[in-house]
Amino acid sequence: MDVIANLGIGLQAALTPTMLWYCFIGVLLGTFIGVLPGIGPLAAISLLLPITYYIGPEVAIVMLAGVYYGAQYGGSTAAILLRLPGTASSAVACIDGNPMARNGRAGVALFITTIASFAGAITGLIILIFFSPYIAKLGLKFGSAEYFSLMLLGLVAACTFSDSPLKGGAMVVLGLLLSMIGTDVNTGVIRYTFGFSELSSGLSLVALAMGIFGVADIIRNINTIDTSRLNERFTMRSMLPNRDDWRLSLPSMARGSAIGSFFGTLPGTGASISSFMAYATEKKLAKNPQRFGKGAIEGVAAPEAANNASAQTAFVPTLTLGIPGDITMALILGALIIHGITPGPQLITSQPELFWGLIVSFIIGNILLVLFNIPMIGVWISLLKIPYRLLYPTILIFISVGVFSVSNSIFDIYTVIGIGILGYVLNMLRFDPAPLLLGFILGPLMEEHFRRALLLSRGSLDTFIDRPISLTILIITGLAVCFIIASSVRRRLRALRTAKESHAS
Amino acid sequence: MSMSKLTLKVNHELFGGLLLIGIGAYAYYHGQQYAFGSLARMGPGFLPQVLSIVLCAMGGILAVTSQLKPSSAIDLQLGQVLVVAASMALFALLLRPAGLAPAAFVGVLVSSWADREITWPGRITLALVVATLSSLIFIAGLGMNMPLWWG
Repeated sequence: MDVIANLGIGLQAALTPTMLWYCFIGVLLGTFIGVLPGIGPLAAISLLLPITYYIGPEVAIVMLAGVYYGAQYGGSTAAILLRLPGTASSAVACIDGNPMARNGRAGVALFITTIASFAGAITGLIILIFFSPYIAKLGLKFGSAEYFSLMLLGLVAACTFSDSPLKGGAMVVLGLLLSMIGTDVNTGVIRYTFGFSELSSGLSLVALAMGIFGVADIIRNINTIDTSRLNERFTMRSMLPNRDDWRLSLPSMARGSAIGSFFGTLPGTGASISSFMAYATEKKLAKNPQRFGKGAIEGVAAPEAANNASAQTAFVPTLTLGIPGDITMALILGALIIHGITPGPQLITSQPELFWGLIVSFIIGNILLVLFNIPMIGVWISLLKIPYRLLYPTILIFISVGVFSVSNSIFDIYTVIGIGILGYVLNMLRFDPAPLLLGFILGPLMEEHFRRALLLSRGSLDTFIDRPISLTILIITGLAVCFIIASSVRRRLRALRTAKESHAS
Repeated sequence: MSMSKLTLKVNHELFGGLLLIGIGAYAYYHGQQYAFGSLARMGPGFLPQVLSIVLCAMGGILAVTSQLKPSSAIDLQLGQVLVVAASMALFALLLRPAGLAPAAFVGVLVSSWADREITWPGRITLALVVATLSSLIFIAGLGMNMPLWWG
């Protein structure tokens, strides 16, 4: 069996003390920032990006990935206990998890989320292990036209499922525009630097990510996060679910894992969308949907399985095609590119130790996470009591040091301040700035492939529709755009109608 | 300390749309100095100009359709914005001449201002702890290239 041989290679690569150590550190940090409200995996990974210059790229990616999937486990803790989502993708866990806690079933909710998370992650891993080689083989046939089409699909998919597709799309375009800053690779012309020589190599990815996910969120969260009302204490016995809990939650976990695997593999869509979709599905399938919102265990199990399945399958397009599975993957892809590793179809064959070692580290990491989240849950709950007023000044200093250290540039600290204020204003105007980062990272890649495809076809746009794979991807993209337009027009009309009705009455 | 706050009762979609149009128009205007080229040989100005127009168009649709949605209040925490920005700017100014430890100390003193509940002893303790911790992690631990102290 190929798979066994491959995993053997992976085991050899992953079972070195350094790899194990960084896997441990990654999932530990991931659980920590997942538990804490007000700092998510995107902020944590951007904070850690500078540190990856000091350790090798292989261990860096093991650690960053650990932070990402570790945060999916921890995120539901604060959501259940305090109705404060620790990460964006665990917001759904508040709806039924918090009522469960108020009914005195917090322990059961936490236990089930961990089991659901593990089930989802393992499903995702199985898909990652079996599908990646096939997708990579398919990817070998890709030319610039296919890459461009697929990235376009990723950007469109990232907007399709957001609250307002138009606003999401605008953020993607803004991100693409920001990626134009600096020297144009093809002509050497320096664009949009406004006289700052520091910008000639482009806007710093670390500065952009920390500004949007660090500084902007801190400004918004000061004086709003209160964890002092927490006084949970429970025993292992109170955590164990009863027979009914198992009967209801096991099928939900299976459905959630399937939904999460689908959205995870799709480029551009990730954990948050998966958990919302899984919740909506459970509510639709339930015999009496009235139970939802009042502590239905399916409403906790399915979304948690979904976001973990998605966190693992997001690595499929990222590692096999070099196209990020979701926004956090975009950041990890950015980190890999900084280190001179460009993931693509050749990665599995040319660097099997890196690829399979990473996968084995995921398996080890997920087992560690179950240990962190069930026997050690008390530790995390006491950490949850750290007041935000002690955390945010510390994080601000770490952000400043981190962004400075990338290229010893004071200018980058000022950039973070500027981007942070921009991010705060966008937040206030109810834009979700996360797709901006996707546009920013994909921008240069898309521009390169777009230009190369057209250079080869001598300026004929037909190249995108003459090639069957590219055409198929473009048709899917077109359908997604039609879906966006149809559903938002319908939503606006409905809003207009209700507004008129309330006006008339 | 109480922070200044600006509450605006506005239609955030209208404001958002206008902001996008503003950014797009400026990027288009600024991008005109770069050669546009053709589809076969794109100049450095091709994508920036196309994207600027797309951004303006999206902003336009958002602003026009904004009337379908009700206005709601936006609380701009101006005080928090200023305190956070000032603390980071001070850190940036102090890092090279004064070193990491003093810069971190001052940065925390200023940024903790934004919290309503923190006390002076708490603020100073936190600043000392963060200054020590960051010196230990970044200079002693990771060996980053930055001064620790004056000189």
